[in-house]
Amino acid sequence: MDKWPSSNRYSLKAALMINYNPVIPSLCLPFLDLLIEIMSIKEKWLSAWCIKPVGGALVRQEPEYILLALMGSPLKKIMLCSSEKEIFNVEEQVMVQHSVIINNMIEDGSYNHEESKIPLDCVDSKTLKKVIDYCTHHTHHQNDNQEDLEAWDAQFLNVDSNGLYDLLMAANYLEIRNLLDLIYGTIKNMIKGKKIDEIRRIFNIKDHGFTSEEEEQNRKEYPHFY
Amino acid sequence: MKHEAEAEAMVLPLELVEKILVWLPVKSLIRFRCVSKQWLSLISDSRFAILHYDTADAAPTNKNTRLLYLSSEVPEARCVDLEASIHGDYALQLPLSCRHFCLSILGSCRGFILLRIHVHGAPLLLWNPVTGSHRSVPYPVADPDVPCWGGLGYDESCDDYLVVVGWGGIGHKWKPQWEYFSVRTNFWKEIECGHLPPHLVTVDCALFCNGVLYWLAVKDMEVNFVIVAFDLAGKHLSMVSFPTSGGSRRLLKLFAGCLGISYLNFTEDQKTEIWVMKELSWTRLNVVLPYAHVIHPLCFTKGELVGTKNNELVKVSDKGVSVKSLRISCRDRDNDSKMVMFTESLLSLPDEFGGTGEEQRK
Repeated sequence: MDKWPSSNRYSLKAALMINYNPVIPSLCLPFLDLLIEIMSIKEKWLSAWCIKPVGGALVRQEPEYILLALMGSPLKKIMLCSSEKEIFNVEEQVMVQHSVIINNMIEDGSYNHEESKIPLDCVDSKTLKKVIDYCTHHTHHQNDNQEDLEAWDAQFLNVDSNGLYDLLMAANYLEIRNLLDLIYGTIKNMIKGKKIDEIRRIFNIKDHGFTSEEEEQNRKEYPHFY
Repeated sequence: MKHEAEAEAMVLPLELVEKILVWLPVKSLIRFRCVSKQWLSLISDSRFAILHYDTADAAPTNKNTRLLYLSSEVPEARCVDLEASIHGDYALQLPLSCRHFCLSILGSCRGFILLRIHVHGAPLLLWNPVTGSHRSVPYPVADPDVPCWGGLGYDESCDDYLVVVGWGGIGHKWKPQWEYFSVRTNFWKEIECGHLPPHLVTVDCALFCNGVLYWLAVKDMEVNFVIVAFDLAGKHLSMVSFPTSGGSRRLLKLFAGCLGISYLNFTEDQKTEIWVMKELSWTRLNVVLPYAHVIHPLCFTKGELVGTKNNELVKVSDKGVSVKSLRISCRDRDNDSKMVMFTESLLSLPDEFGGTGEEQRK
């Protein structure tokens, strides 16, 4: 398709975006018939993801969306909005598989594919991108062998403690079970043998709340762990 | 300014801290009580202790399981983390009241050990080795020279711990007698055993597995071994038999919480077999053990069998090669009253107020 002249691609995009019904500009109709013939696209696929014109304007779609739709089954996308008001388009399948919150929203019908974006006010763009990255990888690579997945996970969590904190809060908010377990495991390994002062630093505990006598007694009892 | 706000915001809410702490070993948690007052109250909370125990127990292998043995050289108990490595052990202080007496272990359950103190009039002791808390249980057998056996179990249906003691049997003047003590109600009750044929329990220490306590016993002056089982929920004694006879045996608790028996036959090939009870029927495991006549199996870790051989802890791998390791200086009697497999926990006994001499954080 890259070899097609851009004007053709543009027409194709326009044509595919119009719902296939009897009321179609006659300009597009023959083109559409030809396309169906060439690509053997089933009619139901076209109607499944074709967007109705909204308020007279056609909703923008990314080119790869069209390509994917032509190559395979339709991929519904949903829009997630970060705290910085940046919009991310993600495959619905991917998010539904991983995030309990998003799954519930889609299932109970409160999400309207054509209009809604899911606002995630407590997740910034950088973290949201990472979270989407995780979910997408795990959906597309779910049949990989365990070692490869674990290696990817280890690389994925190779972030500083701020980043880890943000990921944990985001995963907790979105209720992404496997990402949460992964992060818990990482933090658990991080703190297992550490001294008390280091733990306080990692968890940003500025005021431990003990009286000076209590603190002294603690230090006497576990001298090696301070 | 932004950094300040970030720093303030970057404190993990306690509910998430709990979700991380629940995966840590008990030793770390005891220490982490010193991190902050919040962490102290979180870790000391009995609700957290139960959550921590249940989480570890739900995993395919319980990572908090240890081998505990009473050292004969120093008055202390020592603990080995068999999953991590069988080369090192660490000490756990015995309760002050019994430290210098001859002790034997009658059972273990959910992080508690049942100790018998070999002194006239001494009570039994329910002890959590990692937290140090302990509780006395008055001993029903007046004469300390009477051989007896015991066990500690947990009745899930009423969240109660039961101490079971039995004495007498074939060869003694008395018919076998059984009693159980409920920690919640704080008194002893007799267990009906007339329906069982005369028997003699041959081990001191019971194995607790899936709500039932098990002991090895001999029946009717025969050479045949049987297993006596006490169901904690129904308070009911029964006998379980198994396919082979003769030989020397030991009860094991295997993976997936199944009851197992290691059976060493005294025939020429001196093989040790391991049988597992699954759904009320016995199956033999495909395990080959060399040097069978000296290894007493203890448990499986990571697919390898760990056992004791002449006061040493050894591991037997698939290739049949035994890897020598830690020297355990305790009298390795066949009935194992000096060592026990137990699971570390932060749990405390119901209605426990703390016995005399208990140190709060030891």
